[in-house]
Parts: sequence; structure tokens; C-alpha cells
Amino acid sequence: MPQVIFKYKDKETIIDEESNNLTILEIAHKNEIDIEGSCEGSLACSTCHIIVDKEWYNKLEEPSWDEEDMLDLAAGLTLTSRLGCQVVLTDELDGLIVSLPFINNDVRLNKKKY
Amino acid sequence: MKPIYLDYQSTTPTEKSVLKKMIPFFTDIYGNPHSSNHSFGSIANDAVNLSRKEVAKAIGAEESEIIFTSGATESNNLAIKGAFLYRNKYENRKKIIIVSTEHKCVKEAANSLISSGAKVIILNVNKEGNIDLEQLNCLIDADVAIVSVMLANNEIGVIHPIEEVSKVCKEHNVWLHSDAAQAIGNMKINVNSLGVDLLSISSHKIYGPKGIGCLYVRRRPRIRLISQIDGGGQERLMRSGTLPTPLIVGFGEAIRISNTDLKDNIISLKLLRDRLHKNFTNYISNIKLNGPSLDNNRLPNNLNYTVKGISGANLAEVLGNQVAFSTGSACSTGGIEPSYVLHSIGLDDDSALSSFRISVGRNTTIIDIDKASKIICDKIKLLQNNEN
Repeated sequence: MPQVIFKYKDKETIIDEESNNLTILEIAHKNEIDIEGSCEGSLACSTCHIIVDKEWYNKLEEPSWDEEDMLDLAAGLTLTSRLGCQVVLTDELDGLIVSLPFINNDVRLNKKKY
Repeated sequence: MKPIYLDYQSTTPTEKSVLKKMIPFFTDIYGNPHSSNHSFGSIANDAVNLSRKEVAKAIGAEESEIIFTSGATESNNLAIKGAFLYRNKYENRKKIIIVSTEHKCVKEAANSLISSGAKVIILNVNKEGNIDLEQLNCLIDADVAIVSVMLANNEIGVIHPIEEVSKVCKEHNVWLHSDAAQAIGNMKINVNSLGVDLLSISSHKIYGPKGIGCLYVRRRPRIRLISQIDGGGQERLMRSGTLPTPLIVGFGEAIRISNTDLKDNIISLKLLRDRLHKNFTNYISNIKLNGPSLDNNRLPNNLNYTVKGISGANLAEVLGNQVAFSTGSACSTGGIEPSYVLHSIGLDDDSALSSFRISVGRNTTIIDIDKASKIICDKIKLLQNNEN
């Protein structure tokens, strides 16, 4: 039963995931954590951009070319950025810490009148 | 008499067959290669991609690793500024290492970053123009963002051991850039065996049109750059601006031809060059070859001489309508400053000013060589006699 810790803005959520081999994106959606994931994990967008904790980053498998291509387009890229849909939580990654980039800019949520 | 052209390192004529391929893309197939929703655009886009494939193939890269630019100067700028700014931002790496004999654009690009907090470290070269790997080993650390070592020098033709440099860079996870503007078309280039992360190429040195070139940007491990020209996000966001389809088509065809004939071309260049060298050394006393010896790590098309007592610039100028050659890099001609490359290999001001560069090319004939060496030798002898 691997554990994953989501950090965002000023709080964090610790999730004990019962099933193995779910992606970070799937786990986030299951637990109503606000990661978008527009293309539903088909590697066609970078809206599930997550930042993996430095200590953990090298324990993950290397990202594929396609994932890196999508990361090229991600806003606020860091050296430990990944796509949530490509990181699978296994027992080996028990305790994984990821944070969400604080740059989501959804115009629909922007209530300011022009 | 039409002057004999022996300045192929400054530029080459565009091959007629290359121009022929380019013409339709000016007038008939004029679509914007980025307007891929209509046929005008998609045909242009197909042509661009075909060229991209040719360029990639010629240097052993993937198509998606080729970023088209306006030439090697822009490529060098993008590589050095883009890489430094990226690594400085994310990893706080502050140093840039370059060689003292780099092309002006590499030096100036690096120097321009000093105001952004960069520390530029210069590697020395020995009398033949070779770098010292020991010195590199001593100076490199995890604070270095990028090392830039040209593949071959534009003035003295020395070829640097990029494979060895790459090994040193990898130990410290430092990115390696190489300016291959002079090397392309004159030696086999493979980005993977060289171990470079970034490589600059220009089209007009390989019988293609001027105003186009590319930067190879390695994708695995991923090299990311901060773009220097922003806009529509073309070329994987790294170099915005509508791609010049005709120039790219010309570049692709030129590099295809140069890669196909590479081996034969190198052999014939060497033959011509060695003949010229023999003529010179037979007829002129106290002529000295600058750079590595001919059978060593030297470009097959380059010669650089010092003849004490004569002015290289003067010689090139008075003979200008008979034989075309130069004092050094074309970019610094116009001024009569002595070459910093020659300074770096230990020449004093007088010797550096008494030097000239000759480079042979694909269209040079043996008759050209014999004629040109006679013209130059006669003139030098005349000047030497006047001196005495």
C-alpha cells in the first residue's frame, strides 16, 4: 500500500493508495486533487505537470521522448518536472512527494470583467 | 582573367543544382510552411521536413534535433546564450568555458553574458593550436553551464579532440557545444560519436545559400535552451520566425551532396592543398606554416602562412583581382588588427600581420593551384627583394 504526498500552495495531502500501478494523475483524480489532465493520459498535453521532490526524482524511470516533448511546452518547468500521467506509483515509490506548479491559469475561473 | 578563388573558408559559391532546386520555392511553392491546413503550406512544409531529414542524416542526428537558424553565428549565439541562461536559471551554474581561438561570435556571445552574471573562462592553445585537456580538467566543475570548443578552426584549420572534451564534460554533467561551421563538408561528423549536445552548422560553407544554417540540439538527455528570438513558437519554441523554405531546400540539397561526395572530396582537397604547399615551400624562402602540420589534425582545405617582412593584408589586396585569399577570418577583415588566433598560438604582432590564409575548394583545379602559386610567389619575391 504505497503512499504519495501531494504538496500544493500552502497545504499537503497524504494519500495511502490501496492499489498498485495507478498513475499520479489517476490517484489525484480519485482523490479530488486539482490536477487537470486534459488529454486523459494520452501524452498530448502538459496539463498534468507535476514537480517531483528532488530526493525522489532520480528514483523514477526516465521520461520518454514524447513526455519530454510535452514538458518542453509546460509552463514553470523545473529540473524535476514530470507529467502526472506518466509516473506510476508502485511499492518502490512508497512515500513519493510531488508538488503542483502554482501557475494554473484557467480563464474560465477568472471572474474579472473586462 | 577571372581571379582565382582561394578563399573557400570564408564562403563557397552556391552549387547550380542546389539553386535549381530552390527556385520553385520562391515563385510557385510559396506557401508558409507553418500554414499546414492548406496545400500551399503543406507542400512547403513537406519540403522543409525533407531537408531537415537530410541535415539530420548528414550529422547522425534525429530530425527533431535540428533547429533551423540564419547561420552559424545565430546558432552559436542561441547555443551559448540559451544554454547558459537556462542552466543559470534552474541550476545556478555560472561559468562558461571557451577556447581562445573560437570564432568572434562565440567569444562575443559569451562575453555578452557577463552582465547576466556569467564568468567566462578561456582555454589556452599550444603552438599548433591544440587545446590542453589537462587544463580543461582543472578548470571544469559543476558550476560550468556550457563548454564551447569549435570542431575545426577557421584560420589555422586545427581539428579539436571533441570526443575527449565530451568525456570530461560528461563527468561534470556539463553541456558541450561545438561550432562546426568550418568542419562541415571537410570531415565526417557524427554528433553521437563526437558526444556533443549542441552543434552549429552553416549552409554557405558547403555550397549552399547564405542566410541559413542550423543548430543541433540533443534530445536525449534533453538539452533545453532559453530562446533568443520569440514569437510564433516555431522550431520547438527555440527559434520563432517563418522558416525560409527556399533557403532550407537549398541547405538540405547542399548538405546531401557534400555528404555523398565527402570521402572523394577530402582526398582531392588534400591533393590540391599539398600541391600548393609544395609550390610555396619550394619557391619562397623563410615561409612558415601556421597551425598543425598538414598530415596531422588539420582541415584538408586550409593553409595559413607567415612570411616575415611582407604584410598579409597588403599582399591579399594588391593581388585581389588575380587571386582571392584573405588574412584570416573574413569577419575581422576590414580592420588591420592582427589576428587573435595567431596571437594565441604564439605569434607576435609583426608575424601575425605578415600572415595570410588560403583555402581550396570543390571547384579548384590543379591549373588554378599552379597559376595562383606562381602569382603569389612572384609577388612575395618581388616584395622581399624590395626589402633588401
